[in-house]
Amino acid sequence: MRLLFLITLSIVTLLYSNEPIVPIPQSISYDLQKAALGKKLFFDPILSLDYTITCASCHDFTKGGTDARSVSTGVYQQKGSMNSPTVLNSVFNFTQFWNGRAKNLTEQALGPIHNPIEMGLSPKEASSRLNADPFYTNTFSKITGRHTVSPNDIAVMIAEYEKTLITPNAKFDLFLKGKTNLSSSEKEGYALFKTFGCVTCHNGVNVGGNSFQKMGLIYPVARNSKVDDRYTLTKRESDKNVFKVPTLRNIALTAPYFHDGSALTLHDAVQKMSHHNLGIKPTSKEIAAIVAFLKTLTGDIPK
Amino acid sequence: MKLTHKLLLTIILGSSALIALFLFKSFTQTYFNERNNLELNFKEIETAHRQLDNQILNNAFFLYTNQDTVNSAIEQVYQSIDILLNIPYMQKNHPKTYALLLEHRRLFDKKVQTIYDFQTANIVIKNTSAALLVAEQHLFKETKLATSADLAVMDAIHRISGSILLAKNALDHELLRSLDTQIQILSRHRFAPSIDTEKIERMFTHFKIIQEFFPRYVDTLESIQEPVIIATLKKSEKEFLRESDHQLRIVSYFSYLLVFLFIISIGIIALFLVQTEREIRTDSLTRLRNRKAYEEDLKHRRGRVALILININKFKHYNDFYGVKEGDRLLVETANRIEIIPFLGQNPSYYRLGADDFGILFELFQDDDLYTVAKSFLDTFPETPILIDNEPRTPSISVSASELYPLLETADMALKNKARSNPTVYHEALNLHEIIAENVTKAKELKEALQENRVVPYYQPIMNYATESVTKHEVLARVIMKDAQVRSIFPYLRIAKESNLYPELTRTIVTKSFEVIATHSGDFSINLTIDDIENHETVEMLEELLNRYHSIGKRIIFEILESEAIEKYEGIVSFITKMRTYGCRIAIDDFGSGYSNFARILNLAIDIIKIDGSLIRNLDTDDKAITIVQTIVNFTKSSSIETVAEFVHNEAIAHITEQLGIDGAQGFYYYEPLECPLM
Repeated sequence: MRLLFLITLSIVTLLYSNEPIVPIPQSISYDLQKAALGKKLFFDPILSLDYTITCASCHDFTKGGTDARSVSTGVYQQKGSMNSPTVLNSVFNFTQFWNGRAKNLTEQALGPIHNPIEMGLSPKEASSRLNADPFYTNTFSKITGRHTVSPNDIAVMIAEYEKTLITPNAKFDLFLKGKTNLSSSEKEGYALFKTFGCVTCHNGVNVGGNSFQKMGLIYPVARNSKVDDRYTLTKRESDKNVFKVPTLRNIALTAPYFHDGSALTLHDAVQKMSHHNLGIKPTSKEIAAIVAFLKTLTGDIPK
Repeated sequence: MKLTHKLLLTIILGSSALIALFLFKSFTQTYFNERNNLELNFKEIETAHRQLDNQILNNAFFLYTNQDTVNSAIEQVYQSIDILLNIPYMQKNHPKTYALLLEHRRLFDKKVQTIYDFQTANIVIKNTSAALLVAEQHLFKETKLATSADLAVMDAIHRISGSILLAKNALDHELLRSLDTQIQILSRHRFAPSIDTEKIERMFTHFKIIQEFFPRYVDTLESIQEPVIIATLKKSEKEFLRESDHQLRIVSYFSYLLVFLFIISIGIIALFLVQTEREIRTDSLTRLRNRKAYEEDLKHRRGRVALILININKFKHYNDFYGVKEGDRLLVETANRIEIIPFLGQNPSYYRLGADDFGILFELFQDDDLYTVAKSFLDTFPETPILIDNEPRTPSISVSASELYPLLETADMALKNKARSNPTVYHEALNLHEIIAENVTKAKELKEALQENRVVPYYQPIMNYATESVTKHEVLARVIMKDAQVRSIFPYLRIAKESNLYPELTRTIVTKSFEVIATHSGDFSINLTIDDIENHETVEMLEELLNRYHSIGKRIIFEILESEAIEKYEGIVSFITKMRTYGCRIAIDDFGSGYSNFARILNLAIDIIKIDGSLIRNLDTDDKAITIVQTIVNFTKSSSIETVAEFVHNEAIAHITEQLGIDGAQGFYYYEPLECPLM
C-alpha cells in the first residue's frame, strides 16, 4: 500500500518536477473495510479514559484537522504542551508527531490514546474495552480473522482511515495542473515563497512534512523544556528546538500556528518564520502576498 | 534370476533414475530461480541506494527541490531490503546472508538519521547562501555614506561572502575556518551612524550560521556517501553467492548420483541382455552351445570348415534302463568329456545338436585329413572311463564327420547310414538324396509287385544228413520284376518295414506258400519277424490258415531271428505257445550272430537252431568258427534240438558240417531257392 502510494507520488513528482510543490492526488488506494472501522474508532470516545475524548476532538475536520487551540485539552481537561498537528494529509508526512518519533500512521495512532494527558488509555485497556464490545469484536474479527482485538489492530484501522483524509483540488494544485490561474498577489506570494527560501523547507506534496528543521535557526527562539522536540529523542544538543517541518496544506484553517500555537495569525506566522528561520525582514505587503498564496493551499475537506 | 525379477529390477532402477532426473530438474529449476530472484533483489537494493544518493546530491545542488523524492528513495531502499529479509527460505537457507543483510539494514537506519541531519543542514546552507547573495546587493547601496574604514570593512565582507560561496561549492572546510578570525574582527567594527547596520548585522548572523552548520553539512554529506554501507550489502551478496554455491555443490553431487544410477541401470540392462543372449544359445542341461548357436556360428566360420557329429549308441536303452535322470547325467558327463579331450581340429566349438547328438564345429588346415581327426576323436573318447557313481559308464559312440555343406545334414546322413563304419566321413556316395530316391523307387516297385501279384514264395531245399535227402524247404520271398527277372526280397525288406508294406508282404508269402505247402509234402520253414508276431492281423491270418489246411501245422516251422527272440522275449513266448497248439515248430534263425544267452533261448523250448551263415561260411578256414559251431551242436544235442547249417556253399563246408554232427544243411552247394518245392 505504502509502496503504491510512493510510486504514485514519484510519478506525480516527475510530472511536476519543474516545481518543488506537487499536487495532492485525487485519491489513494485504501482498504474500505478497515477504513470504515477506523472511522468508527476515530469518532468513538470509548478510546479515552473518561469517555470524553475522541481522535476527532483534537483533529476536527472543520478546523482543518486541528482543534484551533494553542495546545490541546485531554482527559479530565488536562492541557497538553503541543499544538495539535493536522490529521489531514498526514499520510504524506515522512514521519509523524512534531518530533517525528513515529515512522508512520500506524505507529502514531496509539500515541495519543496512550498519552496520559491526551486520551489516557493503556494499550491493554483500549483493547479490552473493544473486546467487551460485541460490535467491535465482530467487525474486527471479520477483518483480522481473530477473535480478540489487539492494540495494533486498533492502530491499523485508524491509520487506514487516516489515509482517506486527503484534501485534493486546492486552488494551487489546480493552478499546478494548469486548470486555474492565481491572482497577481497569489502569484507574487508564491514567487516570494520561493525566493525567500520558504520553499527549501516547505516543498513536496505536503508543502512541508518531509524534513526536520530547527525552530529559530537564524535568530533563536527560547526553548520550552516541556516541549517534545527532536532532542527528547536523540539527546543531541543540535536537536534542541528541532521539529518536523509542518505541512502548509489547509494552513488557513489551522490557526494558531507553530508547535506551541504561539502564532495566532498567518501574517504573524510568516513574519516570525522569516525572521527566526530565514533571517530576513519582508515588508507587510510581501507578507500579505505570501499569506494570499498560502490561502490557495486549502483543498476539499473530508466530511 | 527370474525374468520377472530382472524386469522388476530394471523397472525400479529405471524409474529411480527417472524420479532422480525429475527431482534434479525441479531442484535445479528452483535453485536457479531462487538464486536469480535473490540476486535480482540484491541488485535492486543497490539500485535503490544509488537512486537515493543521486537524489541527495540533487538536493544539495539545486536550490528548489522536493524533499519527498529523498524520502521516497529512502522508503525504496527499505522496501527492497525487506523483500529479501521477508523471504522465508532466506533466513533458513542463507543464515549468514540474512545476518549480514540485517546488519546492512541497521547501518542504513543510521544513514537515514544522517540524511535527515543533512537535509536540515542542507536547507540552512542553501538559504543562508541565498540570503548572502541578496544581502550583497543591499550592501552596495550603503557605500555612498560610508567612511573609508567602513568601505574597507564592506570590501572585506564582500570578499568573505565570495569565499564562503566558494567554500560551500568546494565543500572546503579549511577555507571556511580560515575566515573565522577575520569575521570576528570585522564583526567588532563600528560603522558610521549614518549607515543602516541592520542588514550588515544580518549578514554576520548568516556568516555565523554557515560557520555553525557547514561542518555538519560536510560531515553528513561525507557520511552519507560512506562506502561501508554498500560494502555490507556487497558482503551480504557475496555471502549469498557462497552459500548458494554450497547448495550448488549438493546439486552437482545429486547429478553425479543421477549419472551413476543411470549408468548402473544401463549396465544391468546390458548385462541382462548379454545373459539372455547367451542363455538363448546355450543348452540348459550340458551348458554346451545349442543348435541356434551352431547355426549362427557357422555363418562366421571361414576357411575349411568341418563338423563332427557324435551320437551315443542306444542312448534310448540307457535312458529306459537307468531312468531319465541318470540319462541326463550321462549326457552331461559325455558333453564334458567331448569338450575336454584333445582335439586335432582348429578352433573347435562344441554343441549339443539333438537329444544325444553332439557336434564339434572346427576348421582344418589345408593338408589335414578329416577322417584322421574323427578317428582320433573316436579313439581318444573312451581312453579314460566316464565314471558315474564310481561306476564306469563310458557310452559307446558313433562318430561321423563332414566338410560338405550343409554340414549338419551331411554329417547326419553319414551317421544314419546303415552301412556305416565308425567313424564315417561323409562323401557324395552317401548322399541322402540318392538314397531317398532309391528308397522311393524300391517302395514303388514293391508296392506295384504286391498289387500285381508279383511277390511270390521260393523254396530252398534243406538236406537232411541222416537220410541223405531233402526233408524241408525254407520259404523265401522273391520279387518278379516286370522284365520277369527274379530278385531277392532282401533289398526291399527295410523299405517294406518303413513304408508299412511289411504285413502285406508277410501275408502274401504266407498265403501263397500255404497253398503250395498243402499240395506238397515235407516240412516248410517260414521266416517271421517280430513285427509279424506282434501284428495281430497277421497272427489271426496264420491261425485261420492253420485251421483251414487241416493238420498242416505239423509241417510248419516258424523261423525267428536270434536277436529278436532275445529282445522281445515275452511277446515271442506267447506266440510260440499259441503256435504249438497247431503242432508248429520253432526255429531260431541266424543263431550265433549275436551274443545269445543260450539258457534263455533254451527256455523258449525251441525245436530247431539254424546256425548263422557268418559262422558256417568260414568253417573251412577258421578254426575258431569250428569251435563255436561245435559248442552249439554239443549243447543242442543234449537238448534234443535239431541243427541246420546255412550258407553251405562248397563241398568242404558240407563235409565239415556233416562231420560236426549238424542235422541238416542248406546252401548253394545243394540247392538254390526254387520256384517249386522238390516234393
